[in-house]
Amino acid sequence: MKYVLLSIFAALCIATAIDHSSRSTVQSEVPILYWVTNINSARVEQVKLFHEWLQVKGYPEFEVRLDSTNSDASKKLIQGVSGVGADIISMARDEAWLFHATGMLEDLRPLAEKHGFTLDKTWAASAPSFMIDGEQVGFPRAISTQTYFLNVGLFEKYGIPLPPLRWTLDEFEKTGKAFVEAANQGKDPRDRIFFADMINVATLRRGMGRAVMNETMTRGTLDNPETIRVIKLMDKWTTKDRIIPTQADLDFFAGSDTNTSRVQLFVRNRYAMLTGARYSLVQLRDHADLQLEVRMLPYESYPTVLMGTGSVGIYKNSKHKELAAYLLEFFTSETYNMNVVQTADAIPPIPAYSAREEYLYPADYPQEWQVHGETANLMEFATTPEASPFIIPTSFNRIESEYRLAALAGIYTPEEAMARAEKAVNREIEQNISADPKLKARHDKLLKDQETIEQLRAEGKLVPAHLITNPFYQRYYRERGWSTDA
Amino acid sequence: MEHGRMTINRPIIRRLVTGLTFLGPSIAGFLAFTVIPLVLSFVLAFTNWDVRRHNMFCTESIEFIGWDNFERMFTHPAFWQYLSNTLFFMLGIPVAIIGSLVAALLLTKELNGPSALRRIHFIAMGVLLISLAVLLLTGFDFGNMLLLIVLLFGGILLAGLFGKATVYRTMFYAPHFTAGVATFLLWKKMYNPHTGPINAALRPVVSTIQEVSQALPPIFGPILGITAGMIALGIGGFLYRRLGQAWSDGELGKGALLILSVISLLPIVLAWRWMEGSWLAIGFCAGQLVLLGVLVIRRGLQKPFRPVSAGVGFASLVLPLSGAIVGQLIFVGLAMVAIALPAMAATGEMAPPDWLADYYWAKPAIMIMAFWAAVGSNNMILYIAGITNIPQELYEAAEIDGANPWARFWNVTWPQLAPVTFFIVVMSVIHGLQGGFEMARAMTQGGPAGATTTLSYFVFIEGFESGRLGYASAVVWALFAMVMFVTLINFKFGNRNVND
Repeated sequence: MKYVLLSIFAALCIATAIDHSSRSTVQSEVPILYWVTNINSARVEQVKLFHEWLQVKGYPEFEVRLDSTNSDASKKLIQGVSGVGADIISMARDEAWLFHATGMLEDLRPLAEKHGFTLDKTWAASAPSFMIDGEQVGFPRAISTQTYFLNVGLFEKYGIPLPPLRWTLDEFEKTGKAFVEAANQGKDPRDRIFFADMINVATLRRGMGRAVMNETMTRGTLDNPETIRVIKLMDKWTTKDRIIPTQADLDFFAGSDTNTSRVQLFVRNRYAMLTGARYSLVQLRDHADLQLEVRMLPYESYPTVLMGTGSVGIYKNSKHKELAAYLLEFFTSETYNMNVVQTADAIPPIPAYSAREEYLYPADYPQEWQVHGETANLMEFATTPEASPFIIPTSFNRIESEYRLAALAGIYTPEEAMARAEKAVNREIEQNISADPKLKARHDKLLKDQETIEQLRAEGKLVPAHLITNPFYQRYYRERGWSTDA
Repeated sequence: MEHGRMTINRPIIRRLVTGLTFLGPSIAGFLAFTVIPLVLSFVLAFTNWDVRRHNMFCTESIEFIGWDNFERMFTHPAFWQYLSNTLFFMLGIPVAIIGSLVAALLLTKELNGPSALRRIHFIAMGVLLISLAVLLLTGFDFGNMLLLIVLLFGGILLAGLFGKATVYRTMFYAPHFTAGVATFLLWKKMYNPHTGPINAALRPVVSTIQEVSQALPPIFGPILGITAGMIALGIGGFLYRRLGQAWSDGELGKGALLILSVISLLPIVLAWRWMEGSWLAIGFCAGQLVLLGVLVIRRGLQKPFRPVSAGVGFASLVLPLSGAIVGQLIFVGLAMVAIALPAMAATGEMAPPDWLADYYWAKPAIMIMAFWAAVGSNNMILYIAGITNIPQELYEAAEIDGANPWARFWNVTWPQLAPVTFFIVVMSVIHGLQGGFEMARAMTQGGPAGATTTLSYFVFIEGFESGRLGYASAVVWALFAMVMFVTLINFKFGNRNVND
């Protein structure tokens, strides 16, 4: 028996050795850098272009490989803090803040100067997503502005006039009710056509002049009339007016509310409007007969657009930081930006490319001609979501959504739910700062700034712009003429 | 041994080396992946380790903070919500154990000759045809359903004819060796409110209920509600009768009777809370208290057959008690639905549940899935082994005494299975307290509104999403303490031996 076991052990050792030696990682003669990101055909194409671009520019030869198996945020975090992170890391805004807090991201300012991917090269509004505490921890690979895509044919079919480019909540509700009434006459409830697939809660709230954190991001602000009104509107639009689907309706196609399933429902005429960004066109292009237009999300009194920034950072423990910087330089190149223009993967990170003829009027896709210009124009109203250093964004989002959904499920009234949510958020903040003396000192200082802001506002005086750290309020105060940089 | 000295000769050394060589990898693995992490996690529970501040890129050192993590945990409202979710899911354990036992009893039935075999298959075929007829009458799509049922059940019956019990044992055990995540995704598809087969089957049934409810006078709802409430009370009555019988027969100690009686009040608390003090709640709670009162008065006046120590009988009756409580709660829930039925039917929008997206349905949906997985699990295999080992003479003796099948079960099978049941209960409780992570991760992400977040998923959120490893370790050790406590209770009062 022992000989059998020993033979098996030996065979496994030999197999392992063969497998290891046959791997291309071992065989490669050039340095290999791993880029942890979501994999798709656009990304594969971009890596191919990057390698060609390196050769054309005469830069050092190396290879970038995509790693999608570790693209989950928790894997990136744990691998990063354990010293085995990927060389290059794709990050959403929340991740960038979390990874920066751990210190696992390289401060790119010196490399950015050397390679020319400084902040001034890209959209200024995207800065809070990768400029954190004065450090540059990434550079945008993709920019997006959240909009509604309109199925023009469906509006025409039911005789509903297209909404204006900028519209209010009242106009949204009125048009929505008219649409669902016209579109669902005599239909089985299961075949219902909705006006929109969803509406973004943050945009609704911001449109009323309210963010989820205060001006200095020291406190959560959920227990207020605006947030409560947002919940009531959500409830009304989903369960009473039925212009937006409930979770059950959203589950219709794939049993889950994924971007792909919502796009599929949109092209099957189940929604007149789809919440998306320019990247939605990657899927929508397969349906050439779909005449598209885009509209800003409706607002109460303040037009605002939520922007997304997909940035890329460099791991501090990488052995190839210098080489990794070439990829970020590539994001500023014409090759990359024109690829983004052509594939509709995003709004190009370099603003100048969004004014080009190829961007505005792609020859092969005339059905999209209204879309491209407007998605870039919306950058005028764009601000990133808030990210407070005092609470992890994922924790905040979990608390907020749990109580919001509890209110929508009827477990609490909206007032109760938001009072509890605000208390839970602030409790979390208290716990975070009490565990970290440095964070507490920072919090205490910002709390004093907050008091100053509130006092000045109460007295009707201008607030010094530098006191405001919340990106939404920075813009809001400026445009309302409430801050010194107005 | 030579002159008081032990000589270690070469064969002994060789055997020792061989033994250690074989054991070495296992010991090394156990030390590296179990013992050391276990000790480390215990130490971590008393530290402020947060990966945001304590990692290879930060100079800040990890500090011992005493009981702070535990204090924080016990004052964290989310912890209590997730603990109550975990305990709610554990309500399914007695039902699952009973399901495993029933499956094991069925799968160990000897088929006495071809006539009995044929009879069983005829009964199964009859049930199949009646089910099919019901579905057809209530408007289910004929073609798809017929094809599905004929192929599925026909195949199973045919396989049973040739492979006998082995085929069915394999089928029942199938959920256990199917990959967990794949199963969860399958159930997620089945629970799809619009395209899933569960709601597809329920839709015509719900439509029929709606039509019937609309046609009947509104008083029909309360009558149905009262009927369901009476059934719930009937279950309570049966339970108290069984407790009283055990007391009289000297199978139940005073302490055990007291604890079981207190536990039996749980449906009163929950019914009162669910029905918010309505007339039905008053009726049910009063009925249950009266039943308990009858038990106390009747049996209190009666001396037990033989004196027993206080804790005796707890373990053998806690499982039937738990099952009865779950049964009562199901009928209380049905009573609530029945009362609301006329109003729901009047709206004309009655629909099958939105299983995983509805706050109130998400937990039962997960429990149904867990029940399905648990019935055909290792528990069933253990029960099959246990039943097979029961000496046939006991059954023969019982038969000679004139015991009917029910009496044979209660007086022979159930006591003989005590050690197996004890093991299953201990393991199920441990798994129940630790469970729920995979389902929450794969199916609901802990939602909606935290309804399916269990303590194990909470540990994942705190440890790997928020990076608070010290706090997550504290939650893990609190969980361990709970598991330990419940296990000790089980060991103290459990029926570990056949003759207990």
